Amino acid sequence: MEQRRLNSIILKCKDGDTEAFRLLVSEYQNMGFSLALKLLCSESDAEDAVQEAFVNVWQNINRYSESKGKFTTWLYKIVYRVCLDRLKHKKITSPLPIDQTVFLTYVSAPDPEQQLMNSQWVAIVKVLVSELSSKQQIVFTLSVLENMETEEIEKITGLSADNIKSDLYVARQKIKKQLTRLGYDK
Amino acid sequence: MTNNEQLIDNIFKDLQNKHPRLSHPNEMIDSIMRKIEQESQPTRWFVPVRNCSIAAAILLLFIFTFQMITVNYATDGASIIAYQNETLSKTRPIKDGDLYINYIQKKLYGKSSYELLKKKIYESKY
Repeated sequence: MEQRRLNSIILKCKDGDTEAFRLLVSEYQNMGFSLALKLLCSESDAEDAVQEAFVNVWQNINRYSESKGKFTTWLYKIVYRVCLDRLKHKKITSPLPIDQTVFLTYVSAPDPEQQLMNSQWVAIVKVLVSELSSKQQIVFTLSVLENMETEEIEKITGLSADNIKSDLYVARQKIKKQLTRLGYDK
Repeated sequence: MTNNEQLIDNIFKDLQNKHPRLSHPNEMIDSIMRKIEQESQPTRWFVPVRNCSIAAAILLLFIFTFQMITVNYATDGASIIAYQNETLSKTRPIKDGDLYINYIQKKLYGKSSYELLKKKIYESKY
Protein backbone atom coordinates (compact mmCIF):
# COMPACT_ATOMS: atom_id res chain seq x y z
CA MET A 1 0.00 0.00 0.00
CA GLU A 2 1.23 3.47 -0.87
CA GLN A 3 2.59 5.31 2.18
CA ARG A 4 0.39 8.38 1.75
CA ARG A 5 -2.75 6.27 1.44
CA LEU A 6 -1.70 4.18 4.44
CA ASN A 7 -1.18 7.35 6.52
CA SER A 8 -4.60 8.64 5.54
CA ILE A 9 -6.22 5.30 6.49
CA ILE A 10 -4.40 5.26 9.83
CA LEU A 11 -5.58 8.82 10.55
CA LYS A 12 -9.17 7.79 9.82
CA CYS A 13 -8.76 4.76 12.10
CA LYS A 14 -7.53 7.07 14.86
CA ASP A 15 -10.80 9.00 14.45
CA GLY A 16 -12.72 5.75 14.97
CA ASP A 17 -13.55 5.06 11.32
CA THR A 18 -14.25 1.32 11.22
CA GLU A 19 -14.53 1.24 7.43
CA ALA A 20 -10.96 2.55 7.18
CA PHE A 21 -9.91 -0.15 9.61
CA ARG A 22 -11.61 -2.75 7.43
CA LEU A 23 -9.30 -1.64 4.58
CA LEU A 24 -6.29 -1.93 6.86
CA VAL A 25 -7.26 -5.45 7.93
CA SER A 26 -7.94 -6.48 4.36
CA GLU A 27 -4.51 -5.23 3.29
CA TYR A 28 -2.41 -6.68 6.11
CA GLN A 29 -4.24 -9.74 7.42
CA ASN A 30 -2.30 -12.17 5.21
CA MET A 31 0.98 -10.66 6.36
CA GLY A 32 0.01 -11.18 10.01
CA PHE A 33 -1.31 -14.65 9.27
CA SER A 34 1.94 -15.62 7.52
CA LEU A 35 4.01 -14.83 10.61
CA ALA A 36 1.47 -16.33 13.03
CA LEU A 37 1.25 -19.59 11.10
CA LYS A 38 5.02 -19.97 10.98
CA LEU A 39 5.37 -19.25 14.70
CA LEU A 40 2.41 -21.27 15.97
CA CYS A 41 2.40 -24.09 13.40
CA SER A 42 -1.38 -24.33 13.53
CA GLU A 43 -3.83 -22.77 11.11
CA SER A 44 -6.65 -22.27 13.61
CA ASP A 45 -4.30 -20.84 16.27
CA ALA A 46 -2.79 -18.53 13.68
CA GLU A 47 -6.26 -17.27 12.68
CA ASP A 48 -7.15 -16.61 16.32
CA ALA A 49 -3.83 -14.84 16.88
CA VAL A 50 -4.39 -12.61 13.84
CA GLN A 51 -7.85 -11.66 15.11
CA GLU A 52 -6.46 -10.84 18.54
CA ALA A 53 -3.60 -8.88 17.01
CA PHE A 54 -5.91 -6.74 14.88
CA VAL A 55 -8.17 -6.04 17.86
CA ASN A 56 -5.00 -4.87 19.65
CA VAL A 57 -4.10 -2.73 16.64
CA TRP A 58 -7.54 -1.08 16.76
CA GLN A 59 -7.29 -0.46 20.50
CA ASN A 60 -3.78 0.98 20.27
CA ILE A 61 -3.86 2.72 16.89
CA ASN A 62 -3.60 6.11 18.63
CA ARG A 63 -0.22 5.10 20.02
CA TYR A 64 1.20 4.49 16.58
CA SER A 65 2.96 7.30 14.79
CA GLU A 66 5.16 7.28 11.72
CA SER A 67 8.11 8.38 13.86
CA LYS A 68 7.99 4.98 15.60
CA GLY A 69 8.84 3.24 12.33
CA LYS A 70 7.04 1.40 9.60
CA PHE A 71 3.45 0.36 10.21
CA THR A 72 4.29 -3.19 9.12
CA THR A 73 7.02 -3.42 11.78
CA TRP A 74 4.54 -2.22 14.41
CA LEU A 75 1.98 -4.75 13.21
CA TYR A 76 4.57 -7.54 13.19
CA LYS A 77 5.49 -6.60 16.75
CA ILE A 78 1.88 -6.96 17.87
CA VAL A 79 1.42 -10.28 16.04
CA TYR A 80 4.74 -11.50 17.47
CA ARG A 81 3.67 -10.64 21.04
CA VAL A 82 0.29 -12.33 20.67
CA CYS A 83 2.01 -15.44 19.29
CA LEU A 84 4.59 -15.38 22.06
CA ASP A 85 1.80 -15.35 24.67
CA ARG A 86 0.18 -18.30 22.96
CA LEU A 87 3.47 -20.18 22.69
CA LYS A 88 3.95 -19.87 26.46
CA HIS A 89 0.76 -21.86 26.98
CA LYS A 90 1.26 -24.28 24.13
CA LYS A 91 4.33 -26.06 22.86
CA ILE A 92 4.67 -26.86 19.20
CA THR A 93 4.14 -30.56 18.78
CA SER A 94 6.97 -32.62 17.33
CA PRO A 95 6.70 -33.35 13.61
CA LEU A 96 4.83 -36.51 12.75
CA PRO A 97 6.09 -38.96 10.11
CA ILE A 98 3.55 -37.48 7.71
CA ASP A 99 5.05 -34.00 8.28
CA GLN A 100 8.47 -35.41 7.42
CA THR A 101 7.07 -36.98 4.26
CA VAL A 102 5.51 -33.64 3.22
CA PHE A 103 8.79 -31.89 3.96
CA LEU A 104 10.93 -34.36 2.02
CA THR A 105 8.53 -34.26 -0.94
CA TYR A 106 8.83 -30.47 -0.99
CA VAL A 107 12.62 -30.28 -0.62
CA SER A 108 13.27 -32.96 -3.20
CA ALA A 109 11.57 -30.91 -5.89
CA PRO A 110 10.70 -27.37 -4.84
CA ASP A 111 8.61 -25.67 -7.48
CA PRO A 112 9.03 -21.88 -7.44
CA GLU A 113 5.78 -21.42 -9.34
CA GLN A 114 3.63 -23.45 -7.01
CA GLN A 115 2.29 -21.94 -3.80
CA LEU A 116 2.26 -24.13 -0.72
CA MET A 117 -0.94 -24.98 1.08
CA ASN A 118 -1.19 -23.94 4.71
CA SER A 119 -1.02 -27.54 5.86
CA GLN A 120 2.21 -27.97 3.87
CA TRP A 121 3.60 -24.83 5.51
CA VAL A 122 2.81 -26.23 8.94
CA ALA A 123 4.53 -29.53 8.14
CA ILE A 124 7.63 -27.84 6.68
CA VAL A 125 8.03 -25.36 9.53
CA LYS A 126 7.46 -28.09 12.13
CA VAL A 127 10.29 -30.14 10.65
CA LEU A 128 12.61 -27.14 10.27
CA VAL A 129 12.19 -25.83 13.81
CA SER A 130 11.81 -29.12 15.66
CA GLU A 131 15.35 -28.98 17.04
CA LEU A 132 15.38 -25.23 17.76
CA SER A 133 14.78 -23.39 21.02
CA SER A 134 11.85 -20.95 21.00
CA LYS A 135 14.22 -17.97 20.65
CA GLN A 136 16.07 -19.60 17.77
CA GLN A 137 12.75 -20.47 16.16
CA ILE A 138 11.59 -16.85 16.36
CA VAL A 139 14.83 -15.48 14.94
CA PHE A 140 14.91 -18.11 12.19
CA THR A 141 11.27 -17.45 11.25
CA LEU A 142 11.67 -13.69 11.10
CA SER A 143 15.05 -13.68 9.40
CA VAL A 144 14.87 -16.62 7.01
CA LEU A 145 11.21 -17.36 6.41
CA GLU A 146 9.95 -13.76 6.58
CA ASN A 147 13.15 -12.36 5.05
CA MET A 148 13.53 -9.49 7.53
CA GLU A 149 16.58 -7.34 8.18
CA THR A 150 18.36 -7.69 11.54
CA GLU A 151 17.41 -4.11 12.43
CA GLU A 152 13.71 -4.87 11.98
CA ILE A 153 14.02 -8.08 14.03
CA GLU A 154 15.66 -6.05 16.77
CA LYS A 155 12.66 -3.71 16.84
CA ILE A 156 10.15 -6.53 16.86
CA THR A 157 11.76 -8.86 19.38
CA GLY A 158 13.86 -6.47 21.46
CA LEU A 159 16.86 -8.77 21.01
CA SER A 160 20.28 -7.31 20.28
CA ALA A 161 21.84 -7.65 16.82
CA ASP A 162 24.60 -9.90 18.21
CA ASN A 163 22.07 -12.23 19.82
CA ILE A 164 20.06 -12.38 16.63
CA LYS A 165 23.13 -13.24 14.56
CA SER A 166 24.35 -15.92 16.95
CA ASP A 167 20.86 -17.46 17.30
CA LEU A 168 20.50 -17.48 13.55
CA TYR A 169 23.87 -19.16 13.11
CA VAL A 170 23.01 -21.87 15.65
CA ALA A 171 19.57 -22.32 14.10
CA ARG A 172 21.07 -22.82 10.64
CA GLN A 173 23.56 -25.39 11.97
CA LYS A 174 20.80 -27.31 13.75
CA ILE A 175 18.60 -27.28 10.64
CA LYS A 176 21.50 -28.54 8.56
CA LYS A 177 21.99 -31.44 10.97
CA GLN A 178 18.24 -32.09 11.01
CA LEU A 179 18.15 -32.31 7.21
CA THR A 180 21.13 -34.67 7.16
CA ARG A 181 19.40 -36.83 9.77
CA LEU A 182 16.28 -36.95 7.58
CA GLY A 183 18.34 -38.18 4.68
CA TYR A 184 18.47 -34.91 2.77
CA ASP A 185 22.20 -35.02 2.12
CA LYS A 186 22.81 -34.74 -1.57
CA MET B 1 29.85 -23.14 0.98
CA THR B 2 29.26 -26.89 0.62
CA ASN B 3 26.80 -28.40 -1.79
CA ASN B 4 24.44 -29.20 1.05
CA GLU B 5 24.52 -25.64 2.38
CA GLN B 6 23.80 -24.36 -1.11
CA LEU B 7 20.76 -26.62 -1.35
CA ILE B 8 19.51 -25.49 2.04
CA ASP B 9 19.91 -21.87 0.99
CA ASN B 10 17.92 -22.60 -2.15
CA ILE B 11 15.12 -24.08 -0.03
CA PHE B 12 15.11 -21.01 2.19
CA LYS B 13 15.03 -18.68 -0.82
CA ASP B 14 12.15 -20.64 -2.27
CA LEU B 15 10.26 -20.45 1.02
CA GLN B 16 10.87 -16.67 1.19
CA ASN B 17 9.03 -16.28 -2.10
CA LYS B 18 6.01 -18.21 -0.88
CA HIS B 19 3.60 -16.98 1.73
CA PRO B 20 0.81 -18.71 3.58
CA ARG B 21 -2.55 -17.15 2.85
CA LEU B 22 -5.80 -17.16 4.77
CA SER B 23 -8.29 -19.74 3.57
CA HIS B 24 -11.28 -17.43 4.22
CA PRO B 25 -10.04 -13.82 4.19
CA ASN B 26 -13.53 -12.24 4.10
CA GLU B 27 -14.69 -14.25 7.08
CA MET B 28 -11.59 -13.15 8.94
CA ILE B 29 -12.30 -9.48 8.18
CA ASP B 30 -15.94 -9.81 9.27
CA SER B 31 -14.93 -11.56 12.47
CA ILE B 32 -12.37 -8.86 13.33
CA MET B 33 -14.88 -6.10 12.54
CA ARG B 34 -17.50 -7.74 14.77
CA LYS B 35 -14.97 -7.92 17.59
CA ILE B 36 -13.91 -4.29 17.32
CA GLU B 37 -17.54 -3.15 17.12
CA GLN B 38 -18.22 -5.07 20.33
CA GLU B 39 -15.14 -3.43 21.84
CA SER B 40 -16.22 0.02 20.65
CA GLN B 41 -19.71 -0.10 22.12
CA PRO B 42 -18.81 0.29 25.80
CA THR B 43 -16.31 2.98 24.82
CA ARG B 44 -19.05 4.89 23.00
CA TRP B 45 -21.00 5.15 26.28
CA PHE B 46 -18.05 5.34 28.56
CA VAL B 47 -16.65 8.65 27.28
CA PRO B 48 -19.84 10.78 27.64
CA VAL B 49 -20.70 9.14 30.97
CA ARG B 50 -17.19 9.81 32.25
CA ASN B 51 -17.31 13.44 31.10
CA CYS B 52 -20.74 13.98 32.71
CA SER B 53 -19.49 12.44 35.96
CA ILE B 54 -16.46 14.73 36.03
CA ALA B 55 -18.64 17.80 35.31
CA ALA B 56 -21.14 16.79 38.03
CA ALA B 57 -18.32 16.24 40.53
CA ILE B 58 -16.82 19.67 39.78
CA LEU B 59 -20.25 21.33 40.09
CA LEU B 60 -20.96 19.63 43.41
CA LEU B 61 -17.56 20.63 44.73
CA PHE B 62 -18.16 24.20 43.64
CA ILE B 63 -21.60 24.32 45.32
CA PHE B 64 -20.26 22.77 48.48
CA THR B 65 -17.32 25.19 48.70
CA PHE B 66 -19.51 28.19 47.94
CA GLN B 67 -22.06 27.22 50.58
CA MET B 68 -19.36 26.62 53.15
CA ILE B 69 -17.95 30.08 52.53
CA THR B 70 -21.41 31.69 52.72
CA VAL B 71 -22.42 29.84 55.88
CA ASN B 72 -19.12 30.66 57.58
CA TYR B 73 -19.47 34.28 56.63
CA ALA B 74 -23.09 34.41 57.86
CA THR B 75 -22.17 32.62 61.08
CA ASP B 76 -19.23 34.95 61.64
CA GLY B 77 -21.48 37.94 61.00
CA ALA B 78 -24.11 36.67 63.44
CA SER B 79 -21.44 36.03 66.09
CA ILE B 80 -20.07 39.52 65.70
CA ILE B 81 -23.54 41.03 66.03
CA ALA B 82 -24.28 38.94 69.11
CA TYR B 83 -20.91 39.87 70.61
CA GLN B 84 -21.39 43.54 69.84
CA ASN B 85 -24.93 43.51 71.24
CA GLU B 86 -23.72 41.84 74.39
CA THR B 87 -20.77 44.17 74.80
CA LEU B 88 -22.80 47.25 74.12
CA SER B 89 -25.56 46.23 76.46
CA LYS B 90 -22.97 45.65 79.19
CA THR B 91 -21.04 48.85 78.73
CA ARG B 92 -23.92 51.19 77.97
CA PRO B 93 -27.41 50.23 79.08
CA ILE B 94 -29.97 50.71 76.35
CA LYS B 95 -32.20 53.62 77.04
CA ASP B 96 -34.97 55.21 75.02
CA GLY B 97 -33.59 58.16 73.22
CA ASP B 98 -30.05 56.96 73.19
CA LEU B 99 -29.27 57.85 69.61
CA TYR B 100 -25.90 56.22 69.40
CA ILE B 101 -27.12 52.82 70.59
CA ASN B 102 -30.16 53.04 68.38
CA TYR B 103 -27.95 53.83 65.41
CA ILE B 104 -25.65 50.88 66.08
CA GLN B 105 -28.54 48.51 66.70
CA LYS B 106 -30.25 49.54 63.50
CA LYS B 107 -27.05 49.12 61.54
CA LEU B 108 -26.38 45.70 63.02
CA TYR B 109 -29.97 44.68 62.52
CA GLY B 110 -29.79 45.78 58.90
CA LYS B 111 -26.55 43.92 58.34
CA SER B 112 -27.75 40.70 59.95
CA SER B 113 -31.04 40.90 58.02
CA TYR B 114 -29.07 41.30 54.84
CA GLU B 115 -26.93 38.26 55.70
CA LEU B 116 -30.02 36.23 56.55
CA LEU B 117 -31.68 37.25 53.30
CA LYS B 118 -28.55 36.37 51.30
CA LYS B 119 -28.33 32.99 52.96
CA LYS B 120 -32.00 32.27 52.22
CA ILE B 121 -31.52 33.21 48.58
CA TYR B 122 -28.59 30.87 48.21
CA GLU B 123 -30.40 28.07 49.95
CA SER B 124 -33.47 28.45 47.78
CA LYS B 125 -31.28 28.67 44.70
CA TYR B 126 -29.50 25.36 45.29
